[in-house]
Amino acid sequence: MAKVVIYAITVIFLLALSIVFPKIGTSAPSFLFLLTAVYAFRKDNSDYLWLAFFSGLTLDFYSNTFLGIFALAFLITAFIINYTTRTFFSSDLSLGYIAIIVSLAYLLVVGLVYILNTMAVRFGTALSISGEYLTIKIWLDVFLNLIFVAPIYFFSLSVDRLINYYSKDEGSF
Amino acid sequence: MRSKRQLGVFSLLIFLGLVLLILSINGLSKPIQSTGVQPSRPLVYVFSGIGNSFKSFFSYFSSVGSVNKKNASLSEQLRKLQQENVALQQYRLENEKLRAELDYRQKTTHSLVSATVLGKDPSGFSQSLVLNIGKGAGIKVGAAVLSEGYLIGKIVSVDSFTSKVLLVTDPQSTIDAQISATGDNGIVRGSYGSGMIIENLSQSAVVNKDDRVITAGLSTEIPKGLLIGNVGQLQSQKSDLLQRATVISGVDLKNLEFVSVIKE
Repeated sequence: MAKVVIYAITVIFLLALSIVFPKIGTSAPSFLFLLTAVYAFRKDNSDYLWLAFFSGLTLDFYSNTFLGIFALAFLITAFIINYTTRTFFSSDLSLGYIAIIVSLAYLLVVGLVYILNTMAVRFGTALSISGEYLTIKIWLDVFLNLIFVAPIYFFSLSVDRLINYYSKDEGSF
Repeated sequence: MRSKRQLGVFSLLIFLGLVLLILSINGLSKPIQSTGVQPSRPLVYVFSGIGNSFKSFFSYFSSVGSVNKKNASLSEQLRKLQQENVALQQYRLENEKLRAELDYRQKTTHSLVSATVLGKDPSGFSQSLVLNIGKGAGIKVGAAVLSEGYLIGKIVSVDSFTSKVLLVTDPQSTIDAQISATGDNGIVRGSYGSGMIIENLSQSAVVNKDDRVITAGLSTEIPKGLLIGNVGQLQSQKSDLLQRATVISGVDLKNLEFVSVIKE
């Protein structure tokens, strides 16, 4: 229970941070994506999948896209990160590897969001995302994500420490 | 064993995501969206408030870095005063914005509903806002949203207690407009970098810098005569078939706190 509550507060906190964080043009670090990516690197169990899904869904609630688009994009990306890391890089992860994967994964998220939204627009009544706008925006996003991946990594460690602390308390009752 | 469980969870969540997407495409996801936003709204509001306070706090302290550290009691007093000052500055800014909004409301003949901006699109994939009013306040899709008398966007979705605004600077936003001084019609479109462009102006149209750009009222939802902004730079050449120019809004679209929505 403590785990669910702490994860929920973490996701909402990072959502609020994304809202108030100053943007450069329209670019900003995607904190919820970074949290998803970091947990996909670190976790062996299915926690990272739930976290990816609900991080994306939270973003869906506050975004101007179809519901489920970010949830699906985050989920698929997290699964791919975890799968590739566990399959090909079971030993120590290098900083370079993390930087490359975070950058590629973000491009994958953007691609998935664009494709899913374009497909959904064909069947529903909503606005499509401008591809031209995305291509200008994403490169600065990637750069900002790389700057913030380390802070989010240490933040995730603190979140896990907090979960362990409260889980022990729950166990003792 | 573990990977089988992961695959199971993955498949379940993919299925759930697809169901949500299909519901959303068919316009049936409003209750879920509304239910999802409501519990997180107070926390987002609190965290956003803390974030904004930190921004003000640190920006203020960076400008008074040369405070005399030798006098501890004075520094303490100063710190308290600074904190009070930051709060007062916030109140003053809030007050000025509310006054500007109220001033316009008294002049206009439109029926307006006040709203507080709850948040911006955190994904950055589109430029939109979430407002704290919805169907309950009589808000409808397509309604014009104003700030200090300037058109800042239109409502694109409404649920019971919140609504979403697509800003005029979003690349997907198009508004029928005209140059106030000459009555020449064009289309105002959002462009990258939080700007706007008026295009499709005929070559014979006379467009000057600082000319007022207003809504043309060709669509049913957005009434005629709402101020969008002023003409900035002409971007077209004499040889072009149609003219285009940048449009500068009179309000800072990145720092909106209070807005008004036209109700009728």
